Amino acid sequence: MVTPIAFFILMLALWETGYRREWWNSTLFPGPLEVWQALASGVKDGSLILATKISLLRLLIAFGIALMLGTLLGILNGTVPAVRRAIGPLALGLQTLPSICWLPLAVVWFGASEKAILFVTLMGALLAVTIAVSDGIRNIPPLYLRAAKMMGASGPRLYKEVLIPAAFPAIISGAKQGWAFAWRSLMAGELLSVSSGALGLGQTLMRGRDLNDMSQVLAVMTILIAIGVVADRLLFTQLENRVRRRWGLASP
Amino acid sequence: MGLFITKPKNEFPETRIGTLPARPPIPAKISLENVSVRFDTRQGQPAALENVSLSIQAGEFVCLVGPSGCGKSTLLNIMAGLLAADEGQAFKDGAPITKAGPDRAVIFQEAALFPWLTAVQNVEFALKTVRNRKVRRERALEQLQMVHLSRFAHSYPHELSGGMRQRVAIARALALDPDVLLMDEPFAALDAQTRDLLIEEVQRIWLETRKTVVFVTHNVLEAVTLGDRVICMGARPGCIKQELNITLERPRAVEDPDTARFAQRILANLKDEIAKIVREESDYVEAERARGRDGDPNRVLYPNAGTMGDGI
Repeated sequence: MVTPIAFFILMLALWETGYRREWWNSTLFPGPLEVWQALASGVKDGSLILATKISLLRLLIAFGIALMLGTLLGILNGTVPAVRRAIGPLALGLQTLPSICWLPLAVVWFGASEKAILFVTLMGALLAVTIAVSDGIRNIPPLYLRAAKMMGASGPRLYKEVLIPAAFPAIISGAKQGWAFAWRSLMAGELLSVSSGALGLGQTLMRGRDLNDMSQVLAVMTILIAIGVVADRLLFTQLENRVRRRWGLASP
Repeated sequence: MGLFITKPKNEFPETRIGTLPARPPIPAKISLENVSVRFDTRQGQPAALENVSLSIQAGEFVCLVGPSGCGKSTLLNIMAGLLAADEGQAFKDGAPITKAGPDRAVIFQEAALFPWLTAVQNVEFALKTVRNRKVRRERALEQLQMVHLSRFAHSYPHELSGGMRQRVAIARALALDPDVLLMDEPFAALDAQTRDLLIEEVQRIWLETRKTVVFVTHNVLEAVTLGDRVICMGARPGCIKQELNITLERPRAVEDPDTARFAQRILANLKDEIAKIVREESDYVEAERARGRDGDPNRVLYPNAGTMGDGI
């Protein structure tokens, strides 16, 4: 823990030194103190807090829908062979499509609005979740299913008490992946549609560029990194490890 | 259940190899009529089971022994309703067996416990007909007590040893209060000491409950210790070679000289079968080598280990 922190401080010091000695054009790449000031003033006047709230709200809505829809589709895909044959290849194909490519279509369908951004974010996460859940269901050891049938479990009970719990580690991994995809898609969507809807983090970032205010750009980037680290490393990875331990998939 | 209890007969002081005593007039608990099964393999379709007929009385403890690949697990899966016969039909109490159900509890080679549930929750899974949660928990704990696992009721399967997991599986199967208990090489993956302990435990439980038990094993001593009747099977095609009534007094122990003597007799009989399979397998491995593929040496003894009955 000491080494990364020491390295981090060293890098910050180097950065600040380079900025002060004007090793580069300081307006293009402001120093850490200036970024910190931009961050502090943005938080103080509430603009960055508001942008963060708006972006997170969008993310939660789109990711929530993707999680529900993706789990449902994944379960269908994983348990009904006809569905798998029908939508399996399509899902894999669409998964290779960068979700931002949905933006032109979304703008035509929904206008340059909140809905277009939500749609792009949703499409970013949906297929990742679907595929992860479906793979999780299909990789359930057949022994569990035989044991469940032997005990007379069928229909909704088989789904609720065997299939979904057995696939739960995969569902969590799918959620983690879906979150990462949604987050990237949201930022791409916000960057490319500055005029649509409220000012999220992506739009604030773009606004900074328009105003040639690099310290604001870097301040927003800092927030993005912080959110990414908290969500991915602290939230999802923790949850994933916990579930894997409980399911006996990892050594404690 | 109570009506059909037949005590193990002790009127035969010595073994009788060959035909069974005349069938009692009650309908068989489980019967198989001319059952054949084929699995698709690249060598064509050798019969996993060929024209097997068998009848098991209520309260009887029947052991199926035979070399790997003789179709004994397949036979059990048919009785469980987890596998359909290609020809012939299996019956329980005279009615055709079409699907798996809690009246025929299965204990698998791996305990097949749900890893996301604790030991007691796993047993509770079998008790879903009991609506009252408190009653259900009490019943599950009683079953765990029967296999001496009360202390580990709240442990997850991965925290238990292989023997403990198998005991939870036994408790879970008993919680179903099945008509028939089907055990598919339940102790094959355990070390010798644990296995001997569990053999005694199964015997005790059977003496207390007098369930109809079908027990598949490749361990002859295990079969002789537990069974009222031992059915020896042969491979390629899978079929019944011989039936043997075990008339030794109960409770029996694995280390009894009488048990060993009985086992010796069966082993002598199975030797030809095992030799046949080893010969075929080594021919196969040789042929594969000749074709430039690596033959897995483990396949000599257990050619179908891990795949038999999978994918059902």
